[in-house]
Amino acid sequence: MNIPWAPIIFIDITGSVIILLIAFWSETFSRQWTNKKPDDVFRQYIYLLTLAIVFFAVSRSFGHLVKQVLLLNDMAGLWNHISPFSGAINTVAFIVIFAFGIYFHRFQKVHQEIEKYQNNLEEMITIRTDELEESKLALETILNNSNPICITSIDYNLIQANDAYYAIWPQAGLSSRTIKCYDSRPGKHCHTSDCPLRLIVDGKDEVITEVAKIVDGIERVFIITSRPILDAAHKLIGMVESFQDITKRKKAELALASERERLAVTLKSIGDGVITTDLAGRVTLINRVAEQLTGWSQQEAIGKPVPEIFNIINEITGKPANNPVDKIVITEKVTELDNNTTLISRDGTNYSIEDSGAPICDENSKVIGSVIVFRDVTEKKKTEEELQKIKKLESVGVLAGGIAHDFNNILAAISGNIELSLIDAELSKKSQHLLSQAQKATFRARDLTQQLLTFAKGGQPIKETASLAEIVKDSADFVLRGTKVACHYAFPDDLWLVDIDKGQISQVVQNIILNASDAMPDGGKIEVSCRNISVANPKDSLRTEASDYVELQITDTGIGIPQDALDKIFDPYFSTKQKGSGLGLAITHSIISKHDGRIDVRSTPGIGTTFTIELPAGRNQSPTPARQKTVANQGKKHGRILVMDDEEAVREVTRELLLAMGHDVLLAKDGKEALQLYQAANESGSRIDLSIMDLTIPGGLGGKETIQQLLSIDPQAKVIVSSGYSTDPVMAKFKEFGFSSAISKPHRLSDLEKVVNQLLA
Amino acid sequence: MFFKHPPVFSILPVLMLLPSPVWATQTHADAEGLIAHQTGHFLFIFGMGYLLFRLYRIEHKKTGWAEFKIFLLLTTLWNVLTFSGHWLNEFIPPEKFIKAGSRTVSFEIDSIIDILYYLSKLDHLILVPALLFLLLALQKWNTQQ
Repeated sequence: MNIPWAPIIFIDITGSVIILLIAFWSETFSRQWTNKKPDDVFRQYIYLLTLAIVFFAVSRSFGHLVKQVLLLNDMAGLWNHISPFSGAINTVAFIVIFAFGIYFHRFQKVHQEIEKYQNNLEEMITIRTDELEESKLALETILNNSNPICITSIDYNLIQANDAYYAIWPQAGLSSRTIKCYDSRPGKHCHTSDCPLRLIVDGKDEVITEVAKIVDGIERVFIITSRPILDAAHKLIGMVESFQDITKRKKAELALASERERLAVTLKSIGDGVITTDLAGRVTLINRVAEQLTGWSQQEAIGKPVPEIFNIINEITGKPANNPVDKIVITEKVTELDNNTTLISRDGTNYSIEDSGAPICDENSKVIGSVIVFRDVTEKKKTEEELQKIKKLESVGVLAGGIAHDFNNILAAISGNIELSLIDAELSKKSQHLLSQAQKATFRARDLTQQLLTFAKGGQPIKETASLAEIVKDSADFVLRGTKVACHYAFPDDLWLVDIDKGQISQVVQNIILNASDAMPDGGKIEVSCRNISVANPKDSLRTEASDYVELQITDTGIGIPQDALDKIFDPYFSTKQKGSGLGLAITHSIISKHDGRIDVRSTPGIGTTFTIELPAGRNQSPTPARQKTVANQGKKHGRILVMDDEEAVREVTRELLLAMGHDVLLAKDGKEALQLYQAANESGSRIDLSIMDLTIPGGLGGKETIQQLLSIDPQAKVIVSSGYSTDPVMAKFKEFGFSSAISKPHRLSDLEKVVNQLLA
Repeated sequence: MFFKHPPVFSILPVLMLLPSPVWATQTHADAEGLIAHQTGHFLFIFGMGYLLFRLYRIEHKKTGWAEFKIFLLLTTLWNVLTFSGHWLNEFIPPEKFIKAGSRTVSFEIDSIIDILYYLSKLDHLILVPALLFLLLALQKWNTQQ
């Protein structure tokens, strides 16, 4: 059976054409698919496989088409020549396809692995992306809840900023366009070489600046910290600036500075020395007074150990005192310095000091240092010693005054009776001599009691304005008369007058000159000088008040006083002389103290002694006129005299003396009795012409109290005040108290007669 | 490599161990072209079959892969058909082809071999659908991925 060959030819040609079309179409799809994921190995494989198939399909279809064309055109011979080539190409295509076929597994495996890695990578990327998102959110949250922050590009464009930044510089967020940092935040550094961002661009790692900005009407101060933003290659890609609001800190700093200033001023102004230290005992602060006392300036002292600056010793033992800082740090309590502490300043000056120390604690009550507060008490100590001395003298004085008063009453009786006895013409010469000796002894005793009374409480000075020079010269010349000692005087012409009791000051000068003379038994020279001193600023002086003084200085070239005796020379009954009473300088000190003055002594054994006396200058610089004698001895007149004294012996002897003078005498033991007698005498018409009244009557009305009542009875009454306290102010200023005259006990007949006669005249 | 693909690489040693003639220096006769071509078909079949085997085990649900497998299956069938055609051609005497000049106009069928040969010449009926499935697979991949 024959079957037509035409269907085969037709299918061959048609199939070949269709295959060619499909081949090219397949290549297109495959290529497009591959290009969608160029890195996909499997797609590349499919593409290559497609290419191999396309190659096979094209070569085969082309070969078949050529074959059919040639055969249809009776060119079988030519085809026979071509067909081996066509077949061979097809064979090659088969092998290529085979090769791809058997490598499918390999490609697939690689693809799967890559896909796996890719999936892992994608998963990782997803996780990382999520993490990044979280981080981004967290960062944005932090960013928007932190201080103002902005990021700027290297060409100064503001790239990003947080809400806090826009709250302060809102114009930066208003513009939709890119805004330059200097437009967003104009400042004094913009467009200058000090621009922080420019400095960062120029290579700085960090720039810190400060800026003030008024926000909501309130000036706020910010610290701007500018830092570079670098990429992985450390190349600058931008700048970040953070703004820390330091307004409160600034205010606190200002307040702190003000407080420190105030503290510094307070410390400087404080009258005490203040030294603060750290825990190691090194000086951290020293105020002005401390600088003056220690001799170290603040610059020199800071950082040095306290003992080096605050060099203290025990003034009794001379050994170094304990370091107060150690005690403060250990006890952590306020500590007083040991007594008798002396500060040795840098130049060697010694200061007696009092001090206290306290720990400095931080806010947690932890000790971080110590503060030592001290003051110079050298003068205070001297004053205290002086006061002690005065008190001692006063105590002795009260005692002495009391004894002297009673002693004077006894002496008055003895002296009066002796005088009365001496009047007796029948006395033998020998008796008269003996009584005269006894009388002299009573006078010496009286002088002694006078001296005792001078520094006793009752010995207040009766001051008058006078020139010190004149009194000093008269007194010194009087003492040195007949000695080998010469006295040189140096008094300025304009020497101020002083308010003094001439008699007491004379006694002072006499005592000192006498001591000086005694210190130079072989003769010598005494320098006496006076000068004016004006103390304008008491802080610079040992004086506590601004005032004017006259200084008297008496210097001898005698044997001097030993150092251990210097402190005692003003004590009563202390004497370095065998015949000395020990009262001279005690009285001198007492007198000067009662004149509100100062007395000081410096002495070097073998060289000499210098007494320095300071007396306040008189307020009135014109001398008190000399007291005029108002009473004159105008002859004898007999009268009726009332004698009032609590001491019977005194009453009796006074009565005898007055009787001897020819007067009628009435006696009263106190003021009450005296007033009764006076009243009775007046009423009886036998008027009393004169009264002699004791100043003080223990337990009864004394003269001082009685005189007022007496004058109210008889304003014309004449009364003589009599007292053993010869230095009592009433005795000195008797007229002010209503008395007509005054007479000291013990009375001398002549003195009594003189006074009585004057008043009766 | 050798042990992973024993079918492929076992052919070469078998051919090389044939006692005569010595292939390296022999003159290539006319039959050589057919053998080489048939070997190519054999490798083609093996390659497609192997690919199909792998895909059958791995890829069977994803889009386009069913079409690709059909393409492989049809290509394999096409190879078997054409391989058979080439082989049967050796048994067809030239007288079977009735010619008008040098053109074949009909074919004389006397046996089953003649029928099989004639059918083998209609291989495009398999190859064209095979490539169409390839195109379809590629189109799906390209569209969906």
